[in-house]
Amino acid sequence: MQDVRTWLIQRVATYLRRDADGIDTSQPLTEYGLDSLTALAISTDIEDEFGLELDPALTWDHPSIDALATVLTAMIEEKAS
Amino acid sequence: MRLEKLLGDLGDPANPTGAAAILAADERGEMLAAGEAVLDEYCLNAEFVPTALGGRLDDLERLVEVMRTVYGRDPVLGLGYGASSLISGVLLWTAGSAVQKEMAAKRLLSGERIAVAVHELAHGNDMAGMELAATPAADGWLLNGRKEVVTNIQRAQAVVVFARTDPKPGPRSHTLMFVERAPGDGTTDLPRFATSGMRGLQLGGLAYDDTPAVALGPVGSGLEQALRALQVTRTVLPAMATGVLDTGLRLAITHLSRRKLYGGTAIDLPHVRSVLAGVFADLLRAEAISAAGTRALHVVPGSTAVYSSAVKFAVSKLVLDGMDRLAELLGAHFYLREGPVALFQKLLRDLAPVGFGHIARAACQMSLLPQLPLLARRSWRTEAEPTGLFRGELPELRFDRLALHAAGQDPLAASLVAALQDNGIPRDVRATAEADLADLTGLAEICARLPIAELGVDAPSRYYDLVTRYVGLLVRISCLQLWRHSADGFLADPAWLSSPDALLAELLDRHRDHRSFGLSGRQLA
Repeated sequence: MQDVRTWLIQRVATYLRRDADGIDTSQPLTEYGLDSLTALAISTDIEDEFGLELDPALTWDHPSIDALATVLTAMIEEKAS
Repeated sequence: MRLEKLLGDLGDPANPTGAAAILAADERGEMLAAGEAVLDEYCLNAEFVPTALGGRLDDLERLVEVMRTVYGRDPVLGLGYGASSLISGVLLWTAGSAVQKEMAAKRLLSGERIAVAVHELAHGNDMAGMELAATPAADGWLLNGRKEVVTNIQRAQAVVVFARTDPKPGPRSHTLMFVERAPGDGTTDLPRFATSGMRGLQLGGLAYDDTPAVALGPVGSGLEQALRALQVTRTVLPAMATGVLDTGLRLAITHLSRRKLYGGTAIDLPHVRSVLAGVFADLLRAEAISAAGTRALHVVPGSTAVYSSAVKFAVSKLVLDGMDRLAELLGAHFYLREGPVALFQKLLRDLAPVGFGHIARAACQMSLLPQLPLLARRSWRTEAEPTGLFRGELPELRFDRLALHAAGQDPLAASLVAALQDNGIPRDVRATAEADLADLTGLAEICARLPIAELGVDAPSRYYDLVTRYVGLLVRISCLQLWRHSADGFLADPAWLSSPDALLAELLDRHRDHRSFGLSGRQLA
């Protein structure tokens, strides 16, 4: 199963049109110019990739890659059990 | 309808709420006092308060129909008396606590006004950019900053304010606040903003200096609550504006029926008849998509993040273009501020904000574009039969079920495939519907593969054109379904979908019988 954090970094890099290496995963994505509507789009990407049903505002409440990775990993583990 | 009777005959020069009085108030740049008195008597505010809180709001289609009567009489009354309290209302019914909702309901039902202050000149529709700040205080919050170009802010007894509670950029940095106006509350009224239309509207602003406020909903929930609640008004406000085109059409037909030129009457000219039939068709189209979007708020509130923007985008253009085409038919008469058609130029000026007021058409495109790929992948190649979108009793309106985005759920677009399985569709209508299905399928291919990182504010024009195509499809599907689900009368005969002759005959009949031109064909005073 793909590493959530790695997948997120790649995905976010695409949205931000940035190099994956250049992204500080502890920073809120808004610091990189991610607007609120695009954050919602990322949420639906995650749903498609990991087969989850997410609250639309998840990326608003977990605004850094680290925070998102943590909550998503927990959700995936719960789903598997 | 009772309200129509209270407003009386538009053409009667002695009617204090007739055309002459309306025009005089417009020339003075004032609200029509006699009009507001009628709306007080009718208790229009009760239409904005849910039945559970003592009002009459439980059916948004009914709300739209009542407000079409108001807008069709005087759009300034519609917006200035009504809509501004409706907007604050939906924010309160979505974000307020039980106690806050009860208090707001009492105020509105007693005839008070509640204004809604979101807008700041520096930020337009960019809500996440708003700067007016709220800082914590002993028992609530203190507001500092300005709100500008707000309806009724000077004469409202209370205001719902969109405030920044966190200086960092981001979607959790704002909170809705409730402010009761009181002497010494640190507010200063800004000078009134003058506009070329809606001249009687009381557009003002407020400067706040340590003004006490209470929060509506959790701290940081402001943007989310607003984006959800305002889907209601984003849908119903344009829907109400069709009443303006309705009256414009009536004035045009009356004038053209009397206008003698070149040895004949203007309304006998084929070109004139063709344009009138086309404008009538557009009015019906506008009300068809409005009906689907309005019903969707009850039936599929999870999808109205899409439908509300689609309704605003489509209906505003249909009514604005329709009014412009009528202006052309009227020749110089559309430009005169006196005479029997004088009301037309006021309605034309008053209609302009339907394109940019409350939210701009461009912002609607911006909100729809990033949703297209998921709509394409999850709905446009599926089948659905959402009968509730087109007819039947409406389920309870649930503000808590409105969602930030539609998660790709689009039963309206998905209803086309199933509709084509109906054997009762006449050949010409079927041909159009099949072409629409091919268009939807083609659009799905393109949108499913759109590069997600290029669908933001700086997206190229050709991507925004996809939104226009999609919304056009929704309008046509709404019309097809409206016909299919109409039991009797004019709408139940498919001729209105394609026959200019059928449209013209109905138009002139209704004009003669003094009935409105929208879907309801209601009797006028």
